[in-house]
Amino acid sequence: MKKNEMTLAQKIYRKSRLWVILLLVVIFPLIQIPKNGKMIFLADNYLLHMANISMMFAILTISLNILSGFTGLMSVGHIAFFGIGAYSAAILTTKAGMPILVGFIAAGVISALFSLILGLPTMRLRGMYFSVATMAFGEIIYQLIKNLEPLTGGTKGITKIPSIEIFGISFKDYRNFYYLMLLGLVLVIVLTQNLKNSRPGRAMLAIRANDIAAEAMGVNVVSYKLVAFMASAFFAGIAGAFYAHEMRYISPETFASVESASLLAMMVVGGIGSIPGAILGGAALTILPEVLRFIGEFRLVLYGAAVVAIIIFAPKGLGGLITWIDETLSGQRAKGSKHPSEAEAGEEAQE
Amino acid sequence: MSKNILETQGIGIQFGGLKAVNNVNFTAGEGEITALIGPNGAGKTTLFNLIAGFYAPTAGKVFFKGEDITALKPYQRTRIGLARTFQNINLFADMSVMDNALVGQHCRMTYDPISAMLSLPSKHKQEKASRKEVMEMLDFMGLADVAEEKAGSLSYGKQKNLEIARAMATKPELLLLDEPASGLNTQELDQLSQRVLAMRDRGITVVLIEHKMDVVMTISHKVMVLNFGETIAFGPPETVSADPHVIEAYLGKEDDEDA
Repeated sequence: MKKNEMTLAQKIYRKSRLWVILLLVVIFPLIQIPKNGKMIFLADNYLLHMANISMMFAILTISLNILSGFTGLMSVGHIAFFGIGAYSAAILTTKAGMPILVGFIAAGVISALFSLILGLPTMRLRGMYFSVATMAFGEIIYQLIKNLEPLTGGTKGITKIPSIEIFGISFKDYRNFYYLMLLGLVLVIVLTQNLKNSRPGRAMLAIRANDIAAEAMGVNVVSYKLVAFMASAFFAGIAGAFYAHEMRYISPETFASVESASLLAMMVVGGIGSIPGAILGGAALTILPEVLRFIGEFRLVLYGAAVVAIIIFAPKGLGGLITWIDETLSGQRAKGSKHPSEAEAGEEAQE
Repeated sequence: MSKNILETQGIGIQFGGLKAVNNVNFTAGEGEITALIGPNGAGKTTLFNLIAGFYAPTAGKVFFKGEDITALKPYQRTRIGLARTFQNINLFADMSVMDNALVGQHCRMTYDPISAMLSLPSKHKQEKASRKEVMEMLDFMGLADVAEEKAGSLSYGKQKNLEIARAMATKPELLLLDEPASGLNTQELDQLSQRVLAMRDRGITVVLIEHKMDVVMTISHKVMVLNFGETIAFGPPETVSADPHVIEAYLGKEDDEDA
């Protein structure tokens, strides 16, 4: 299939798309609108807080994608690594009085160490068996957080977590924190994208596609599963540190093992293995329950229905939808190609 | 006689009460093409799995380049120059043709995950060299023009070629081809023979499992015939095809099946 000649509009689109998105997210907190004769920010604290939490969940979903999306190891206890990161950062900066930067690095490293401890005995397990192991791990970590009172504060949690300050600039303000969070998210995206298009990344994708063939190509399957697990846990831990310093108060309920299911939903809604999808999935499922808040208890039903609808109408997730729009706008889509959901349905029918 | 790059000594494997492969002494001469034939269920693929390390033998040993490799894992064997293809296509269907072959280059690159994430110069240097190498392999197997397409979208013949290109990308000294000709048309079959001969000319030792007798007889130096897991003949093609045991066990039946 030959790529079509691009029109000028398509060329401009291709060159500018990333910069336009970046520009929009950078100016979003700065936009001011007139109200009652005064200029006020379009994004109030509530909106900024939502944006920050969305970005944090985007990092978390990307981290889950490295393990489950790239390597095909379904984790149902991923929230545990988020919790380990959050508590590591919180304990080190409050009880041990460590600098925040140390807390951040420790959050990633300690999470990765836990994944190593869980991974060494479980990496030879396949499919469901690994998933069950992660589920048990998620529950164990939750119980530990709840019951190790001297360290974690038990059900009362940890309060007075310091806000971040770098070179005299305080990130206590949600607006400032937004930029720090954005920087963190962009870094994680770049690192993950680099990983995906590399020797270890291809090894992970190969393991998901066909672990026997991967082994035959010289990939040490067990050790690359471990690498994926540790990278995944590291980023989840970093997301946890962001969470601790944004909320400045953490308690066990955030890290209950059922939350792992929400993470899986974010990944699936975004499209398994897709980085843009992970961002959208993380953001969409953070914002959706808030948007639906006005209808009260009924919102959980609608939330569930929305997730099912996305899975049915966009089988490759929001990421697949974005790819489709992107290819259409840049003229990379071959003529006669169908909308992804139709194409998928056709393929399934053939099988 | 050239020296043997591969040798199995009395190798065997038992599944429950069944001896799938029993006391086989297989050798492959360096730089030669050796064929493995036999009726369905004779133990050919099982022998491949023993040589490539996917099964642990219950008896005997495997030697590669004079060293005992019986205890090595499959990926370690690939690293020291022993590659294989699969009878049923085992590609990474969602990955591009290029990426499939680049996985083959995995053990010829050395950079670690941290350099990968940070995109350090070692990554760029090795990636560039590997891509060049892989492109050459794809070109050799007639896949250069589909390098960016998904492996799963290729025609059957091209997928079979990609299986071989991917194994070639590991830079093997010994290549095990499991039924490379099955399902190919006459023209593709011809190209395959030419390519196998070209591999030999590059100094790669080839061992192939094949059903098509004309292919085997024209390109192989030596042929081993297996039946019920045991060797019934091993030698030059002329000798083997004249062996009465072989005619009885295999060639006679094969004619009936082909008709």
